[in-house]
Amino acid sequence: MRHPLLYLGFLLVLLSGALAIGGLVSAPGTDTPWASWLLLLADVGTLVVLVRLYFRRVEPASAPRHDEIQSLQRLAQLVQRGHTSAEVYRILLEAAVQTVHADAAWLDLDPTHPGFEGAGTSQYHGITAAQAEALRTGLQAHPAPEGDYLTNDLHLRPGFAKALPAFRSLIELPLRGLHFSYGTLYLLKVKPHTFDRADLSILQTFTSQAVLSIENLELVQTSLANQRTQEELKIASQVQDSLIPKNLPTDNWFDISSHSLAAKEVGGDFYDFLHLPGRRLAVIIGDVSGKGVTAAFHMAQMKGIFHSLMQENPLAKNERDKFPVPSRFMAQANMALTHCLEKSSFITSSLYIIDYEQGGFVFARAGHCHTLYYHAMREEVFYFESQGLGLGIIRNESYEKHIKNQFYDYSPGDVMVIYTDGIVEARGGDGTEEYGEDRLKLRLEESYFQEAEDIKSFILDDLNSFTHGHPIHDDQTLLVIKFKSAQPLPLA
Amino acid sequence: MKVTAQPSADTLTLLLDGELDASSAIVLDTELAKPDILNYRKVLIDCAKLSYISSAGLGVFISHLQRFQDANVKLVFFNMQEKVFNVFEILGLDALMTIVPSATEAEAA
Repeated sequence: MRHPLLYLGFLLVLLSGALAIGGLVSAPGTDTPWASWLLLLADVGTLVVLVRLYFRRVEPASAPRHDEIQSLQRLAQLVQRGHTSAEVYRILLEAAVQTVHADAAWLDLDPTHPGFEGAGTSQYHGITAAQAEALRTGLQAHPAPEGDYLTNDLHLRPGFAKALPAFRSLIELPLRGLHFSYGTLYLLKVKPHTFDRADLSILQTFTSQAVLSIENLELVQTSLANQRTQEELKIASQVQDSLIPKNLPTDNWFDISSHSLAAKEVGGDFYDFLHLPGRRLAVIIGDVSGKGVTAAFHMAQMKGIFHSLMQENPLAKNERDKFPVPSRFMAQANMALTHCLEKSSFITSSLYIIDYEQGGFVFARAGHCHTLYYHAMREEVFYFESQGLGLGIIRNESYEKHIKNQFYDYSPGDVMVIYTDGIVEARGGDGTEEYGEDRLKLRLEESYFQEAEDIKSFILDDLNSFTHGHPIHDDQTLLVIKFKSAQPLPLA
Repeated sequence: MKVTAQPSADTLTLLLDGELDASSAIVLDTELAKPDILNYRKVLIDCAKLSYISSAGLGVFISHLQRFQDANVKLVFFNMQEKVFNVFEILGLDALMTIVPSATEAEAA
């Protein structure tokens, strides 16, 4: 629609023209009618202006940039529908070509973009790979300034001086994200002077929307991957939990209580029990250096070693040799670990074989925390002082010289507290103070007369109030074994 | 954790200052892994300011133990705080490594 004032203008020009001509005609012969001539002159001038205004190119209203908006919407919706990066790039190329009516276009995807399988490839529209390569070479020979670039005289660029390009107009748009560059979009037209600033700006909106979509897709993928890792860790945690005995051995001659807590989803602490023939019980505790998944693998391995070495040897000449004594077990375990433990890793462990027919036990300590013991007859709490080197420190036969057995006779009422360093090295107070062996010893002195379960709870309550407000930074394991006076089993 | 190296004619003294845990173990490992460290006759570790050692910290010494022995380089610890010594002792490392009370014994070792 043209402005209504334009028509009013024509009317006025017509009227004043008639007036001027009328003035000239009605008074011939008089002195020169200057006023009428002047009016006619002004009138003709105005008419020229009005005619030019009338035939001016009328811009369509801004509303019909319909397809641009649609293309943008398509790009935006891609993410919600869970599409892939490859599809986003395809739609971007399509939409860009349609919107600016390009004759050809191509998209180069950055080879350095991580995690995208299409990285380093190109997509073409209306142009062959060879043609694009020729243009690429020409453009790279004399690089344009960084950023978006528009030229309507491509043949004037130095790179194209010799071989005239088939396309004269070019838009070059880098796809830049927050962290990396995803690629470059090229649009071409055969005729010169066919791209304008408006084209460039709508294309900029496209590319930034596409980059946003790609970045969102990547965020979604990363969070899915994280979720998967979390799920895997949860499974690992469940599997590890199944490696820890749930049903503690029960008998009328002892009472056992246990506690274990990993600092992370999975940990490197372990303990296990095994009934041996001849009223004997093997108890093992261990701690793999380090934390998390690596430690958890070695923990599982140690459990396997325990169960395979604690098999009855049918070739044994006498009853005593059917199962390895603790020091022999440690030497064999040390050899078994030689090839699968990293150089800087080691395992500490203690193995106890309790013979409750004899009322005694034998144990070997391979660098593990000292056993805390309450002696009922002497009414005394003490730590066993014994020598023994951790596993995986010396990886040859000479290890056997560094591990010893210790024999001990127990009496009813005696209490044995077995634990890992996560208990005694737990931090509290100002964050540098450790729970310590002395405090653990005091707690046993105060609770030895209780049942194993209550002794364990008493120690843990004290430990938790000591470490209150501090994160646990090492796996914690605590076993309490209380010896009782053996009662004959009730007849079934 | 800070590691300061004090080289002399045939002895390298490493001063450890702070807590030797999983993160600081890397610093010490880099220092001990240097090939020319095997040219010394003795490597003395001054533990006066070493306030804590984790299993990762012990792991660093353990992983280089064999290499030092093979090259005939003596590894001597001295000025060790009781708390840190306990950690070495529990693991049985006191029977495997030379741990002496002071610099005088360390130099004589």
